[in-house]
Amino acid sequence: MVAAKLFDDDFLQRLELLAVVARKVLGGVAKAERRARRIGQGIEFADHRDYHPGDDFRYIDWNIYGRLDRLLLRLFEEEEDLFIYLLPDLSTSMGAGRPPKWDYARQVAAALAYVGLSGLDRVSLVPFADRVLGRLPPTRGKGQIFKIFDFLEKLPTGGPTRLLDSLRTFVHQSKRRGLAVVISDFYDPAGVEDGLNYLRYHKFETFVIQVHDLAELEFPHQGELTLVDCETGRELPVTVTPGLVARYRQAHRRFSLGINEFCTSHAIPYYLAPVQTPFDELVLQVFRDGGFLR
Amino acid sequence: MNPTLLTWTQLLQLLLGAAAVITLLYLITPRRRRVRVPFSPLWAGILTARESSSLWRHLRRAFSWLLALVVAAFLVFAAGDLRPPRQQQGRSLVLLLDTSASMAATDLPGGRLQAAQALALGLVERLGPEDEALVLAVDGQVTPVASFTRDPAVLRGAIGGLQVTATRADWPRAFRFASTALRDRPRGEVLVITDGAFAPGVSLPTDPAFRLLPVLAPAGGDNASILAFNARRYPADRTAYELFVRVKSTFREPIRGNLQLRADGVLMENLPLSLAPGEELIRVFSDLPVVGGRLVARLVFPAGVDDQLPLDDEAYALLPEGHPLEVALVTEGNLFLEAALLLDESVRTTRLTPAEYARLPDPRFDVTLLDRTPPRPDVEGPTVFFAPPAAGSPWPVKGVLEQPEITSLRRDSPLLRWVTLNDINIRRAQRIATRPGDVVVAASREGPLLVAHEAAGMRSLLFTFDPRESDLPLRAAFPMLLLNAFDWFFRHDAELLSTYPTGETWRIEVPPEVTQVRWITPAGEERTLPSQGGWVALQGRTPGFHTLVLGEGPEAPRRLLAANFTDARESEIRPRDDLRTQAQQEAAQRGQEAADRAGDVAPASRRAPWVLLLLGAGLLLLLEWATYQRRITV
Repeated sequence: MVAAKLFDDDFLQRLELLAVVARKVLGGVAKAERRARRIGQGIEFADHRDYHPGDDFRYIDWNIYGRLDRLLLRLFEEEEDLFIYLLPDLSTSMGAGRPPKWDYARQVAAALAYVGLSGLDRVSLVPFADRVLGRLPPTRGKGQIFKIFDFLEKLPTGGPTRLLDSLRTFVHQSKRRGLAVVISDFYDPAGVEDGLNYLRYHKFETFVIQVHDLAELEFPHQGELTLVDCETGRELPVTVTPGLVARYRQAHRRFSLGINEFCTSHAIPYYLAPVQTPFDELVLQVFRDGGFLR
Repeated sequence: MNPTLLTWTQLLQLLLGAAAVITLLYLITPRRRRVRVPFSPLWAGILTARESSSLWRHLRRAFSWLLALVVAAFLVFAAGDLRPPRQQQGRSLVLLLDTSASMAATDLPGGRLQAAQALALGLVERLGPEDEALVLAVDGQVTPVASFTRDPAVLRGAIGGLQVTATRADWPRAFRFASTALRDRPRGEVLVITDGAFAPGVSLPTDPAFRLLPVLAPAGGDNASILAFNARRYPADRTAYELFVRVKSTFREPIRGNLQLRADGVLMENLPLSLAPGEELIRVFSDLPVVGGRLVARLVFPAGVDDQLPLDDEAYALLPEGHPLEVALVTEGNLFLEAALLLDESVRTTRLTPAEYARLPDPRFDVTLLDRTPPRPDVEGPTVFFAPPAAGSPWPVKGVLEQPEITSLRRDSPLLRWVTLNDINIRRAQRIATRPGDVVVAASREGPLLVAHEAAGMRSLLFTFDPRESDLPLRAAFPMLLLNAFDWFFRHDAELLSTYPTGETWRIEVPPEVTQVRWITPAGEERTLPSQGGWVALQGRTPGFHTLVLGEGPEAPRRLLAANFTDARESEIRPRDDLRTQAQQEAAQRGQEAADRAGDVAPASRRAPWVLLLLGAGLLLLLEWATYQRRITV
């Protein structure tokens, strides 16, 4: 029922519009219309590096050698099909919110997937919670979008968030590197740094979209409460006062800011996505900022 | 501290019960609402170390529990009326406050009464927590306005409500009352607060419990007063009156003023007065055009003459409105009677023969004189019988008395006022048998000669002899006797006793059928009094015109009474010198004692501990509320 609402005709029309707008923004024209950020055997110069025995000496820059007496190897950006991995978080905490954050995450994932498919990239979906919940193998072509819809609709949800475990599994299951878009609220007691670093260390170009619900900040309850963590079941007796709620808001802000700072410091594009923001607006924002696709 | 309402055991049981209930309530952990949150570590992070510390949670819970226990203890102790043990037995004070007429003197700021009240209120403020006081207002009566109480508010209210009355203080009775009130009471004291205007011969009892606390003006006592004011009717002219006024000055220097006389508000006389120190002046006004009504005499002084007791500057009197008396004289011819009636100008005489009288269709006269004539059975009213014939006489005639001599007289009878009948010569008289209602006014040894009869409200008078057969008509007593008879018939005596002294009990004659009388004072206060045997007794304490309503209903007849404060001793408002000396000694002694006891009794110590306990409980609850609202004790 939820899925029917998630991906209806209206949603599809908005995706189409999004794809058109995204194309204008990106303006790519190649075979595989965008290049993966991979150094390889392309035609466009990318960088130099020291020559090591065994390297193809055809790529030695003799001009540099003539001037500096150093053997440096010319590197080129390798043109290849881009692999886009969309990793929506479907843990229990993502079920909170109005609409639920996991619905929003799936819509965003579907939108990004559509844009990717439209650019003839290979799109793969890897939902996770405390583990990888499933996997849609990389597909290509707009026609595959319904397959993606179907996959997203039928995904199981729930469970605690274990980002590191899930991403470790994902990395080991994915031979081809590419874009890894993590869509989550990042409510992982173990933190997000290790998981994101794991992606980085394994050469995935990582994008972070933090989904959250503004209503969560307006905690409506007061008085003697036992707060029950929806994922861990941990109970926390607390007397909720307006002051405490204000401090909770500040803490939530610090939490989001912490993720943002981490991402920024590690050159990971970061987007804070309240579920109240229309998904297409968010996707456009992603494209406007650049970096997602080139 | 000892509980007064409960025993220590009961108090302890209550306390333990309350503590048990409170502890139980604290042990029962209230069920908290469970709320699912998406990420509890965020909440855990904002709970400070102190808040999340189990020790702190226990401590603040213990603090809250202790607060509740202390509040419960305060309430239990308040319920037990916990009081400190008596260090010293309290005093029993009787405050005798003079409210007699002299206390209305204005020689002290606000008046003497206000000064006395201030003194009494000061005493009340200095009462210790165990001291009790009784307040007595002393004027013509001794009135307890506050019974023995420790409550200063009650005492203050009683003292503040005192008013001066136009009476003389009955100190002997007040002293007896105070002594009786203090019987069997420990540490009794009687504090007499007065202006010292005691009557000669009155002094404080020698009992050391009695202490004089005078309110004395440094130089008081200048007063001019009307000591007497009355009116009487001329015996010879019922429509004319003469007024009698007596004025006295106690000023220490000569004064000038005016005596004004008003009748029903109309100024009739404005007599200049010149009074030497201590002079007493008597004036009789006989030619005033007064026909009746309310008379007021007032002393008026020019500016500069400070009469310090205005209460006795006015006096009141009443005059019945005179009207001619219609008298029927039924006789075959009696010049003595006609001559006697001619003396009174207010009497209008109609002379009738017995035959004419018998034929008269509707004889309506105020008084009928029947000279040797029997009465008509169909006519009632005041009648004077002169030797009525045996046939038809209301009195049974048993024979004849030859040359009777008057041997007994009812001198208190109003009929004999200003009349002497001792040596009357009578040739012959009827021997009659008296009837019920008869009062023999004059009699010989053999039988009555003059009989006053009263029955069913009707009065009549019987001469058992023909005046012509005596020398009575030749004497001045005869017309006076007739006039007295007319006054007696119409109760003019009572009306002419027009002024009543305030502070004394007035006995007023009323019709016997009247069972209760409504008394309206000059101030408009009303009181219902019972009437017994045709008399009603009341004690007026206010000068002015009092009204008696004889019976019930708006149509009930009314009678006016004039009351005057004409007490020469009470108008002497200068304190006695010996009292002044005594008061000075007393004041010195009191000052020393007050200095000795300074700080002994703090006003706050009068506050009952239960009030403080309740206040404490309230403050603690406030603290608990505040800490709860700030989430300190939750």
